[in-house]
Amino acid sequence: MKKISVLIMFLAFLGFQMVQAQTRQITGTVTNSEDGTTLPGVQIIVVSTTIGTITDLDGNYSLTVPETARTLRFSFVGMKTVDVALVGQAIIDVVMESDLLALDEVIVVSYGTATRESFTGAATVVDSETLGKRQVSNVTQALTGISSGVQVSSNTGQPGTSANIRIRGVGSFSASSNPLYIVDGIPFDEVMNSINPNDIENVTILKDAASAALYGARGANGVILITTKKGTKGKLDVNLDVRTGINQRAVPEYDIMTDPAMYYEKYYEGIYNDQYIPGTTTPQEAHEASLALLFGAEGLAYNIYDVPAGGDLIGTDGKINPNASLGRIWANDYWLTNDNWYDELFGKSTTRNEYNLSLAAGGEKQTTFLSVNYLNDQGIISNSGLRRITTRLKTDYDVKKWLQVGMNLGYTNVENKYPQNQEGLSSKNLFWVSRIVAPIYPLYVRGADKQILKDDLGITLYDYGTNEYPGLIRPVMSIANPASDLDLDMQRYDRDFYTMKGFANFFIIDGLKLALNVAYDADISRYTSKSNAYYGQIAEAGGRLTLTDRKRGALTLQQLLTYVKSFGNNNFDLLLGHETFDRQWREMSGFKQNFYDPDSEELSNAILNQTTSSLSDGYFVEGYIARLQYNYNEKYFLSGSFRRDASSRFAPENRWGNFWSVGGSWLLNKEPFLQNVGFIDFLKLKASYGAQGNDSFNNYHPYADQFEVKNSNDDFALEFVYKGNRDITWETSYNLNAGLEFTIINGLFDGSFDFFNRKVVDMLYNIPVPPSAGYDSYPDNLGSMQNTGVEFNLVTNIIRSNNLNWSVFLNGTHYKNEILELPEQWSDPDGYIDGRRIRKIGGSLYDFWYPVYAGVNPETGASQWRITNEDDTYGVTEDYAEASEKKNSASPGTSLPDIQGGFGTTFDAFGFDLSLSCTYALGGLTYDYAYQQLMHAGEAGEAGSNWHKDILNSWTPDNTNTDVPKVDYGSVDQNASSDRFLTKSDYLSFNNVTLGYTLPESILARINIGYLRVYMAADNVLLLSRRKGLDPRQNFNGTTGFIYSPIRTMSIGAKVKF
Amino acid sequence: MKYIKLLSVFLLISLVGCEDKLDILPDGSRLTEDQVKNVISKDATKLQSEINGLYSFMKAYPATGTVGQTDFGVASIAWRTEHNGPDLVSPVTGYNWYSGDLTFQGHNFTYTYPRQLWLQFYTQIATANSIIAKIDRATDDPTSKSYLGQALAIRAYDYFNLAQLFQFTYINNKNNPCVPLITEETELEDIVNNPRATVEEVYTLIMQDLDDAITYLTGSDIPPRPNESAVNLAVAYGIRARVNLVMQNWSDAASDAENALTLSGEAPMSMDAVSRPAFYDATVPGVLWGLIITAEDDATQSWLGNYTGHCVNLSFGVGGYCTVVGTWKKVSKLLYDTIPATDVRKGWCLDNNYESPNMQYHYDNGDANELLGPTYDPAVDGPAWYYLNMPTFTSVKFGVGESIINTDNSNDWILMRASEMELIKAEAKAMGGNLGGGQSDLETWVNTYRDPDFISEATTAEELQDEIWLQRRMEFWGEGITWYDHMRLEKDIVRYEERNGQIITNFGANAIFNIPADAPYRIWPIPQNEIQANDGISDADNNNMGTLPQSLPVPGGKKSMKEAFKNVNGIEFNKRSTIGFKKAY
Repeated sequence: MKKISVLIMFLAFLGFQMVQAQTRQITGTVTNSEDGTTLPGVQIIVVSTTIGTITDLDGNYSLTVPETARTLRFSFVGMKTVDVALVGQAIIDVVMESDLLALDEVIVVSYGTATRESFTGAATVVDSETLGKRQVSNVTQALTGISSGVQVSSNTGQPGTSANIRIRGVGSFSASSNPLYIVDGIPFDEVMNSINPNDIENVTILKDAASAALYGARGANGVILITTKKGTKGKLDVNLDVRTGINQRAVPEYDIMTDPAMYYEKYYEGIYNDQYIPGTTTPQEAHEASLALLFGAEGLAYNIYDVPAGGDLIGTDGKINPNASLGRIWANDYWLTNDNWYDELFGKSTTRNEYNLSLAAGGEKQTTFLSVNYLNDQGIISNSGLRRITTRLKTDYDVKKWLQVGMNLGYTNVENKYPQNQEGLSSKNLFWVSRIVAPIYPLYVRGADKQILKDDLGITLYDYGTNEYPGLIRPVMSIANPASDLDLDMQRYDRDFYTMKGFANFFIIDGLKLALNVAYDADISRYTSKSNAYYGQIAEAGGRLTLTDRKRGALTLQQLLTYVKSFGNNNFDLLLGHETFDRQWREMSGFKQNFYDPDSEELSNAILNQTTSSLSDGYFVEGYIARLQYNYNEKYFLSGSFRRDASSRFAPENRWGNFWSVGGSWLLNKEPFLQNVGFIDFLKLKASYGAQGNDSFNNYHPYADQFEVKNSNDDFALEFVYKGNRDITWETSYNLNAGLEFTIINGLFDGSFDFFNRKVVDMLYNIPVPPSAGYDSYPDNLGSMQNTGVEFNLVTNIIRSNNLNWSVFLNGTHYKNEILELPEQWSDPDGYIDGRRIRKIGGSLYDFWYPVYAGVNPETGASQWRITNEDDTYGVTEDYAEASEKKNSASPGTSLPDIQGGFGTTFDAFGFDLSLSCTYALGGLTYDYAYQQLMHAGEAGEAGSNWHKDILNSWTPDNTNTDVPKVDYGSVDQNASSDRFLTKSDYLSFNNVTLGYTLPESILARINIGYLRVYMAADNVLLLSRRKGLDPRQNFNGTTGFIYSPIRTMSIGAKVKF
Repeated sequence: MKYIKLLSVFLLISLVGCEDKLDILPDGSRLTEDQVKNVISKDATKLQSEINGLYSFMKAYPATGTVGQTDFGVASIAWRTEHNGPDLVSPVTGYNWYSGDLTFQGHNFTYTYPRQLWLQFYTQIATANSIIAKIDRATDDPTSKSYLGQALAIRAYDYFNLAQLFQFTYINNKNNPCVPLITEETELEDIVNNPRATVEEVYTLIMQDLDDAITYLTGSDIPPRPNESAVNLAVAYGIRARVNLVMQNWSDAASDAENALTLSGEAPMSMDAVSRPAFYDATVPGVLWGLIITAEDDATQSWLGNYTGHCVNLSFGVGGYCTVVGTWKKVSKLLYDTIPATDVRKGWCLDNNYESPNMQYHYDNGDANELLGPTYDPAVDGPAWYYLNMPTFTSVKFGVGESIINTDNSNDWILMRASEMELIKAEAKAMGGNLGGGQSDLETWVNTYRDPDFISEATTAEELQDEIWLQRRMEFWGEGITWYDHMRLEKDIVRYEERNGQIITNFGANAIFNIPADAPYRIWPIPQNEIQANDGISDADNNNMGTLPQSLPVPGGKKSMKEAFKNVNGIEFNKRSTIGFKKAY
């Protein structure tokens, strides 16, 4: 507290200049470390003052400094800044080193490290500074837009969930396309939010074979290496980072109806269109019948208007009675009116707070990193959120000259409230129900005094649409009120996560090192799902509870032998190793209902319908590793790697597979013919090729037929559930990468350009079989597919000076997915239809397949679809089944964008820093399912479902020039799935904006603080897409659902170093 | 030296593989085939579990993974056919999972409904084939013979269902394409190129399997079935009686029905037994075959995914879906009007005054009071069943155990009753030339069990057949039987009648249409995923659904029933307390 007061005091005095008492003269010369030449134009300032000068043409300078001056700072574009402490010197000569790139920057690669210069593969490194800007509870969410070739999607905004990541496109039909995660060298197959993003030093994304092939059986989809922070020898840093903010819904609602009158009128119009049959009914008869239906059990049920006696709510003109007023007394004791569900449910803000304290220290023989983190992210809806405590201790100790040992221990405690069903068509999905409920329905139950009722326990009464207002059954989503369920129900994961790694490095002889690593990750969790005993579907049963206790553990053992040796200009680096990964899990689940204490969360408190179940299973991988890296004079680089792997997923005879890679690179800037080309600072050509595997099939025993044991009338019943295939084995991905990396014009531009071809063969594929076989599919290695593309990363450092820095980054990826080979029976050029996709050779995995919408019949207002006539001309039909036939449907395109990527900028000036990062995609299609739902035709089955305002343009006799069919209570298929609802998936997303101010060191030094930055940050700021409400970022395949909206978080924070 | 030791250790650790660790088997409810074989090698009686699987799949939830909450096996398919027909009325709303069956919208080959029918029966066929393939047909072992007989009978039952759903009836369509045939001898390479067999070919297999099943199940050494879920000799005869009726093998149908009755020893359910909500217990007298559904069954555990929740109007406990969302299953007014007042079945639904004599049972046992609570006063609130929002003609045929406030929905699904066999016998006798015998059988059955005053007025076999058809519609309402009668007898589906310029119906919006006997959408299209994966069937080979029927407007505009009641009786309806509601629901 005292320190903070002092700090505030100093802040108040900012800008006051000290009166200078005495001065002295300092002179000197500045030279370049590379060639010893002098450097003109170097800026020299006295730190914390405005006193300064620059060197002359000969690199000399002369400066008068006050006696109180402590530090002189030398800075020059492209050079590392040098600080010199003033201890009475009169002459200070400085040698400056280039910092164009940290070419000697060490990056973490598979089973080791490499310098950027020597690395032959394609990888992107994300540093802690970039990660630290994002307010994410799960590091995967921070990877969006950061690297070319990396797609990130998120199909729920629930706090703490992992993003889905595809590196260079989807890699499989039926097996997983997720990358392999490696944390500190150990495969990590657990929940990613177990890792505190603040503990991460950097993330390396390995994209090509040369980088990832050593991960053998599991590297085909790319590898994400996460390296945690460690201490530095001879230094002590204590960091405190505190931020607090608010959460809001980031993606807005569609443009849905909010005016009850508008809804009543439109729905009436649909009924009238059904009831009025010229020649059969008169307009008056149809009107009367429509009014009766409108408020009947098969209509809207609720009438929330007070209509003067003798009048009808809707007149023969189809308009609301002008004398009607909104809200009415219902059944004497209730006030019946509507609520704006969106405002009620999403109009408020919740909070997100995070505190991070870390210590990085090092002595002569050891280093230590210690951190504690607390996060409380409340999400945006009731009983949703992530509360997490993490702590980590990472230490190493040089026991002897030949022996180093160390440990890395982490513990994470998570309470993740994770309301179920927030993703689909469930009456519990708040995001869906609040959208789909027409604006004529109340959210709450109100008494005659218009006040929201509460029961004796103080629980707010919500309208479940099941006679809460006596006699009224809401036709849409009755027996449901997700807001009430969310308040009263609970679904929660309580997790204890332990990660332990011990290692010993033996430096046997010069260049020869043996590393032994043992790591164990344990995830012990309980899932609690409580349906409340007060209100809703389960209240009658006295509440119900499902508990699932799980333990997952993974033991990794590694023995790695490396040998580094040079013969003249020939440099060799050899790795041999062996690794096993043993993952086991077990779970026990119990279910019970009817609670003595309605708030209990333990099974034994309940008495009825007890069910228990348990299971255990495992997964084991073993691999032998070899890699040889060679370079000549650090100019020509070659690498080769080999791994032989076995996976427990396959039958013994198909278990072992061989994976390999070769790669090379050439540093052209070291060649004499480029030495004199001044604008080239660094230029590397590289190429690699290799084969990697993928075994992550959706079944752990796909080689065997599987059965399920059931209880049938207290006897065993065996049901066939899975058709296995003993021959099944890896799918193999052949990955070609060729590219260049460059730095030019004194570091003004820095970038890379890569071409890739990723061809997957022997694809793990759930082969569909005719369902008449009694099962849908069986697994096989069949088919082939490739992703071919280009990607680029570009950084320009537009301004670089002492007080002003401005850089911009841009990356982009374009790739094409192509199916090369299919099982024989689908090899015909027409392909085969797989739901809403067509699979054919030459097509893409992401090709949509839909009946082709042909607009509205201007005479009748009915939907029409295209058909193909015998002579290949097109006609139209109003029969949806006919339009669905293969010959009549078509593929209107793919969900894969033409280009996607990210861009952003950082700007620093006089202690202020501003950064912005965005992602974008152009040129793909997405199926807007929510919009389709909101454009229903007013069919009887849609009574009470809300509309998008676009429905106001539906066909009427006066509005025949439209592509929205007429609303018709009796219609069938008018709104059926077709390419009508495919929308361009172009989007621009502003992911993060951060504004910070770093206090001058001169002030901080006096209060013994090394560093202090205060900042404001906003995440998920804005999404621009083709339709308000549409979020095309949900799935790679272009489908959209009804998801927990992404969260916008706006925080303020401070980062302090002691 | 030290280094060499270290290196040796490294080599040792590295080279000693962990091959045995790579052999991992799951432990839990799921077993691989090797684990199953291992179990059976230790305990041969576990073979029974695969036979039980035949029946458990018929009531599994989810069975086919296609149709959400209504994926509860053959009972769900039975209700689909009921909703297609003329006698069952329910509202077309988003909450009624059978709306698409009322409107026939579900008969689209890309939709999930046809996939459900297809997968339900073909998955059972696969299980039956697996059993048939495992047992030597020449076996003498009574247990093996029993397994073989059951599997063959079930396979016949499945093909019989498929044949009637995917093509018009046998008699006039013998050479029309039906469904692909898969037996224990069909390899996968044949399944992926397997054209539709003709109706005749499918019925040939059905008859052959039933004949074989009857042979295998005959004999005093054949072990008795463990419970009513399983097929025994009587049930096999019963299934063959149905098939013979469709094939118009009148004398065989009559003798099979007779055998089924004799062998089972069952008599029709008594007048007393059906004078209150019933048909929830497959173990009561009068039932030959039924799926026993216990509290442990997945359908029961699922709360909503079961036949009781979706189809039974008297399920007021948890998971009483249809009672809560008001998707009441009603009897068609046209059918109701034909039921004589003296017939006990008149009480199987509520009358115009929301009353039914059958509901007296629930008044007497206190159910109604418990359900409604102290706030309920009949003088003010009207009849209890009105108070519970039930419309007129709501079916109260199906009970839910002993009490309508149940905590689970573990009600059995009845598949075959003695009454059906009696009616088959009567019809087959008459159509086979013995009009008098058939007529007397009919009268005896109706007079004894349903309506003492019934007199048959038929003068020809065809007239008697129509009388029996009507009896079957009254008797088997909601049991998944009468749709097939409409197909077999090529009867129009009549949902409304025009009398004096007035449309008479209680069908609601979108469902008011009559269906001629030859309307193409009366059968189902083969699902798209079959056509996609089976080279033997193309879009062009599929059943054409023609143009779906258009509904008439609702006659006179249907009033909400509360409003209607208010107008008729002049009673103001009362507020129901929240507690009362909670209790009621």
